[in-house]
Amino acid sequence: MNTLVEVKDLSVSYFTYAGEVQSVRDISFEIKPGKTTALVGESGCGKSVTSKSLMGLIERPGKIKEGSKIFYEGKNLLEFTEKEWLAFRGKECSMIFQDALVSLNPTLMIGKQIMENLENHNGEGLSQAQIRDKARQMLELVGIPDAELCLKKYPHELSGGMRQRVMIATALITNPKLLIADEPTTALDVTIQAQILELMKQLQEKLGMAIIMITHDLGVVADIADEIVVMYAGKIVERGSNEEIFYHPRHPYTWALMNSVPRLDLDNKEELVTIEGNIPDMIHPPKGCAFCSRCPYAMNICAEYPPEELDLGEGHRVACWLTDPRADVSGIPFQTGGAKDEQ
Amino acid sequence: MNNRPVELEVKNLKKYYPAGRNHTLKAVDDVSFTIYKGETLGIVGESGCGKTTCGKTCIGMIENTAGQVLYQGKDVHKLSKKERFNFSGKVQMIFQDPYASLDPHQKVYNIVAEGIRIHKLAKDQKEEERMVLELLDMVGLNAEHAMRNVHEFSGGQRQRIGIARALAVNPEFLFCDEPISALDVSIQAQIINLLMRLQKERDLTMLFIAHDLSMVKHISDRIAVMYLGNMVELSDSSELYKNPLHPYTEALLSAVPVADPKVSHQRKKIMLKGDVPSPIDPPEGCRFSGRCSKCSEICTRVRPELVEVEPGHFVACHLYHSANR
Amino acid sequence: MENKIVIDEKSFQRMEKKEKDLGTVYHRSLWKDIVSEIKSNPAAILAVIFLTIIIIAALLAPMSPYDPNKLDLANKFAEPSMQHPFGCDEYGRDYFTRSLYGGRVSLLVGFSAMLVTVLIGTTIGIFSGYIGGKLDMFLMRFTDIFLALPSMLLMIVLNTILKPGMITLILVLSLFSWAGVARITRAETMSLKERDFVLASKNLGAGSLLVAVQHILPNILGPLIVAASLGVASAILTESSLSFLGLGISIPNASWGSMLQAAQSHILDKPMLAVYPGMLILFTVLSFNILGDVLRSALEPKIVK
Repeated sequence: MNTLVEVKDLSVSYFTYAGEVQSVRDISFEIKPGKTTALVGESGCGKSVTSKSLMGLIERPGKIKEGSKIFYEGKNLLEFTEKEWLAFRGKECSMIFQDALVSLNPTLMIGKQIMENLENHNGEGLSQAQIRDKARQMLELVGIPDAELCLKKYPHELSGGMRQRVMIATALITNPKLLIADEPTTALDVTIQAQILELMKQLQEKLGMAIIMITHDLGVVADIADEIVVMYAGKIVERGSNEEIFYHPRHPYTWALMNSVPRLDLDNKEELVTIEGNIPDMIHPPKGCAFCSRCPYAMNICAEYPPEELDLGEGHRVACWLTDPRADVSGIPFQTGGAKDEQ
Repeated sequence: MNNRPVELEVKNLKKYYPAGRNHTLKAVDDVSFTIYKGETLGIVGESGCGKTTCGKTCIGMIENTAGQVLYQGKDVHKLSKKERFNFSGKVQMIFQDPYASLDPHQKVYNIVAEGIRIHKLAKDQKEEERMVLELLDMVGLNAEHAMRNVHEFSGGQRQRIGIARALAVNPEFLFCDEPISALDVSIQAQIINLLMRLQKERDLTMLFIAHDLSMVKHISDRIAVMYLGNMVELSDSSELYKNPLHPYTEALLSAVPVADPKVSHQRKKIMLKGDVPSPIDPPEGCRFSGRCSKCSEICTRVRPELVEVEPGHFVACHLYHSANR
Repeated sequence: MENKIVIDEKSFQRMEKKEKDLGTVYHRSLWKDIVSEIKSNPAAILAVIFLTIIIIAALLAPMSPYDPNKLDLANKFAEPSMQHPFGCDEYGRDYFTRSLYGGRVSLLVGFSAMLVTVLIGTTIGIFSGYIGGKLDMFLMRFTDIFLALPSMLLMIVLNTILKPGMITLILVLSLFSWAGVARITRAETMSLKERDFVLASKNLGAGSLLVAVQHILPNILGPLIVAASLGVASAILTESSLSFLGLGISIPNASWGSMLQAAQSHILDKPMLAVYPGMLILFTVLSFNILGDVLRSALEPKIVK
């Protein structure tokens, strides 16, 4: 099968005291098996909510709206019973989080927590000893020295990087086909982050799982992602391969995001490109394009109607009125394609 | 750069904390550097390196265990009450957490006006109003925001309010403690641009602490790299990237992700083994010796001094000391 | 189902940009938080209604046609009727009016004691917490002493020694409850004084007094309001207990506690004489406690992302 996960028309809202917050509005995308897809966006764009939907972790006051579909190997996840979810979570699809200290149980030994995941999905009927052995193997696989000793340690005895490795071991012990990583390296030091990213790439080569990487760090995305999905205010504004998005962004938000990050290897001290304004109100989202109020090239039609997604070929899709042949594209620095340093 | 007067001089600064019986946490361990008027010095390093403690000690917020910090010639830890008051009008700080650094019950106007009122910088109510609105305008907010309550604002806007508050007393020196770490990427760019512009307009001297090397390189004239309480390298920002001398700096630079796939996949990555060690009871000799690929015998015994090996480029590493001898 | 898109010649022209987008504002005020929390809790709604009725009734007590203390033996132990909704006590006094006057006493003593308690407790608490060091240690040991004293016994002793009256009662009640408030405010102050915005203020050159009044005090109002509500409940209960023992409000003035005491001797044949003041004490104290609880959960910090 060419597609592991297909998300269609997903909409998620949170019904809070202030009103209905439309976190995710009608998005569709695919995940290919064995590849890394990055969900990129800033706070409030809906990327975390999307990943939680994939795991069935949306709880009150959140609600997945009618008409949303998530197909995993052809089956619609949103029609799963609780029993089917339990079999799915942790076995077909695992998740790792930002703060390992909070995600691991501080009162249980590491070994027990890793084994617990496999015990819950013990389809092969392994014995306790076999499970323990597998846990030790996983710890070695994620690069923890003295794996045998580590099994008996508690989370607070390990450093941040080690804990993150333990989380990865716990998630991958059941050999899932999909790993969702929600900002796994944001809280880590940069040298440790490099280690963890390298580890994730190696593990993907070895185990062949697909990875959904949620992050706002474009450097991490450039390093690890094969496909990129750019989200803004609950909508997908652009998606495509790594190189396409970085070198030929077609959406003003993508372009501005790429250029608002200073480059370590370049020497210019000019002002960074900024995106003026703030994220729109998700209780009363704009009726047209979500980015309209902050877009320096917005046209009148952008405020009225949300743009349709246009297929530019090779999996590169963008939702922007500027792609329309009638649009006024004078003065836009990226329509011709190419990153800043190539111009 | 050397022809500008010295604004802040740090001499053999040490800050130790007791950490249980017979243990000491050496947060800052014999650090010396100088900041010249009008320049931005960035200090980078990972957790436990002591950069925040160093910065806070430099502006007198924390007591020092040993060593001296001289601001415009005066020792910041030995100021009289009056001198301390004057000092607060000259040296200001931007905080890291935009949600904790503003009083949640105050209106924006009062937050910005506080400094003006304390230092009696306005003759009357009207002038105070004018000054506050001018400051808000300078940071990109407007009069409508002045009467709002703080909790109605986003992280980026709060940082702007914090900057307006700091600038209200017309300081000469600005200490920025990770001011953008808690903000979204596109908002970070706004704040960085704002700080750089304000520095130019007001000829401010800045001490900028951060862990995002790309941002620090963009905003700083010179960068200092700290590791486990020691300053291991200090030089011009571009020089540091083109020609990193200390092995830790090399590893750090190679670990910073670059937002360009081709560059990212092609460049050489130096992977450090192990974790960042703890600053409690650090080892003798060079602090980096345990993880350094070029470690030699002397490194485990003797701590290298921070020495100028090229004009304006300081490094604390035995690799360069023996070459110089 | 897309709406039909209407395109005219202006559609693809650059948009005229208005003023910079200010960003979303979610108006959250203390008041709104409290009101919404109360609305979602049926017990809280009842508590608020009851307290409102009781307070209004107590204020309007002088409008009663009856004198609460005047003897009228002709009506001794009269049954409840249209003229006497609660009936009459053994001296023929209208029980309903006496209940209202008793309410005045209880509420007055309750609120006053709470005010004095909060005043003393907050001052000492902030002082101790902010300055810290040896002064803090000394003040806290002082506070500990008051917390450890057997309050009920000492209140009885003091009430017997001192001149009886409402002022004495209020002072005695406050004397034994300020310590709890002091502890709470000290704890809050100590955590607040390390917060960034307090450091920022000190950095600007603000003196300790300015920081304490402008920054610390407004931020401890939350727990303080909760403590105040619970304090009123506790004061009313204690006052009733003292009056029951004959040490509070002196006869013939009405107080729920003294009414209870008087009803003791007739408990078997005229139980209602005990039930009315008893229920009033119960519901008033309960309502203040519920209110305190609701306020506590309303004032818990909520993050709006």
